[in-house]
Amino acid sequence: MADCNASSGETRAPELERLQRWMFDVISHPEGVVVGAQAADAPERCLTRPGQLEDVVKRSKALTAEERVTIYANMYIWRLVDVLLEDFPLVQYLLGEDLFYDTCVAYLTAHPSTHYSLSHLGNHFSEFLLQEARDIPHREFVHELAVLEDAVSTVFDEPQAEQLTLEALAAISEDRWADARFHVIPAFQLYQFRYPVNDFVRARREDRHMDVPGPRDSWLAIFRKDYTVWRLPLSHERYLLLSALVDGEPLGVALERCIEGSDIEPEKLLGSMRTWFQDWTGEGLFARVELVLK
Amino acid sequence: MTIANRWNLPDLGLGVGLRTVHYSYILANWPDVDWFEIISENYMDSGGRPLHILEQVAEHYPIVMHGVALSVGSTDPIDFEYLRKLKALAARVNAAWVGDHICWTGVAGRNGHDLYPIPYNEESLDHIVKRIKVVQDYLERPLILENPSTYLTFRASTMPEQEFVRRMAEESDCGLLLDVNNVYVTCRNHDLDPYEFLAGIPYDRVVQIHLAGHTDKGSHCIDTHNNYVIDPVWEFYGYVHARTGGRSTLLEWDADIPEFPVVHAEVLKARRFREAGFSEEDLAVLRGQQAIEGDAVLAKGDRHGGL
Repeated sequence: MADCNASSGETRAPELERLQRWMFDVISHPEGVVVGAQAADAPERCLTRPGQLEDVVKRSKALTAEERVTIYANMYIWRLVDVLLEDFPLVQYLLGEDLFYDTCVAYLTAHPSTHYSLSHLGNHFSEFLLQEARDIPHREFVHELAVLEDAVSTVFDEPQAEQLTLEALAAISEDRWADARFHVIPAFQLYQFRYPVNDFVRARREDRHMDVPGPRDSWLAIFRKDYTVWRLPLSHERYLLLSALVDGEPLGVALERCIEGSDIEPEKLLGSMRTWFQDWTGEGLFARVELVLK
Repeated sequence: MTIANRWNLPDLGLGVGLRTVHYSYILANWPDVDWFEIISENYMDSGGRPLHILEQVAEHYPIVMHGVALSVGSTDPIDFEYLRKLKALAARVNAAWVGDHICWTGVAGRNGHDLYPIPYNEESLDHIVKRIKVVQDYLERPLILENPSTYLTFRASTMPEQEFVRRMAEESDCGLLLDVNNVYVTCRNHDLDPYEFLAGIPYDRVVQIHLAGHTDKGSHCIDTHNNYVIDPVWEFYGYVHARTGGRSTLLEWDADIPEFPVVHAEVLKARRFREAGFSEEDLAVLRGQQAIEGDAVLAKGDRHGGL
């Protein structure tokens, strides 16, 4: 019988738990259900003689126990690979179907889903490609491509927020600009890449061929406007400024960081700044601005 | 005659599952559909376009929430953060009711994102009843649980599924979503008599009915939701309708999804049963056919759209 703590909802059903752990181990085994059922590392979960699936699952008139369990095993892997394919279509394009599938199986074995939402399934995929998928070609580029594709999925689901208006921007007096702290919307992410990954994405979107490019620094903002996700290429200077703002710095400090990191003359940067902010505010990147007390 | 359900939850009529590919059509045409069902998890964690669309749809139609991740049959601890989000979404869209499946979706912290079967025995029953009560207390409303399609049977099972479902519903005081396509798929896969299954359902606890298409592999069926409803499933619907007098009915179409009017037209076929019902003679004939020539009845599945 199961025990239950009514306040926490925690119950104990030992035989059921053993069966569930056994079934999950078997259907998620990368080498199939027979090998999964023979796995020697979980004898306490195995309710039967190793490998004897029919000790646990009945056969039907048409299917053996192995065939019936395999239905769940196939659905497990294909469902999850499909989700990864939906989230990382260009990684799949670069790797090809077979290598992408094998990479996904390895990923899911190393990082099984631990969240009820499939939106989190690919959370570790880009890092897995870099750190653990040593045999894939163009590994560093593919990793950055996966970072970009994951960011698009993440930004898609972020909460909606109020946006700073151009009128509110114009209302900031010249002498308070340095004290202005700009807050970006939740659906905004900023990236510095070692490769021009956005150029590759754009080429694919336009159905143009592009070889995997060599290293070249690039900067990108990914944000959502009117419920559509956009990619905004940035100059190094715009990235530096936005990066400081995202870190919570007031504009005066952010500008100092931008000037320090740039080769462009400070006067030119300052001359461009108002236009930048008008562009960004028009794109809806900022939720609000607060004036920091001096 | 209408047999009220235990909670007097309304018969919303004939509904359709809200799916992304139909968003534009729905917002442009506001079709004359009675209600929509959503997959809860598609909206619980999204603050973007899906939720924006849902809020507009909820202003025009009743919304029923149907989840796939509650995992009420799992032996892992109940995820109260999940329940918090589920409850918040139900309040946000004024959900008519909240449901999920009689299944588990993961264990030991791992999630397979599928509806896994539980062995139908006393331990599982005791376990799931206690968890349903906790969930219902938290949500402050009855949970409406669906019989899943299953592809295997455990030796550890000691009672038929319909007995498990009935006792589970009565002991936990939960509602039922009877998926008549799942009855077909499960009974085909386990060599069972679907009318025996249907006869064991406590209809005063049935709040909602699901219709769907599936894939017949010959040796077994897969619940793919990618096609029209086959005739035997419609016959099950007629059988159930005769025992309830009308329950909120929804068509699920989740793969190879056609244009919205095609999906809507498919669920409207249920009007035949809702307006005319099945006579006891009809039902006797259907039950007799099933008992005597069960394979022939099931084989009519290829003649979809003929009603």
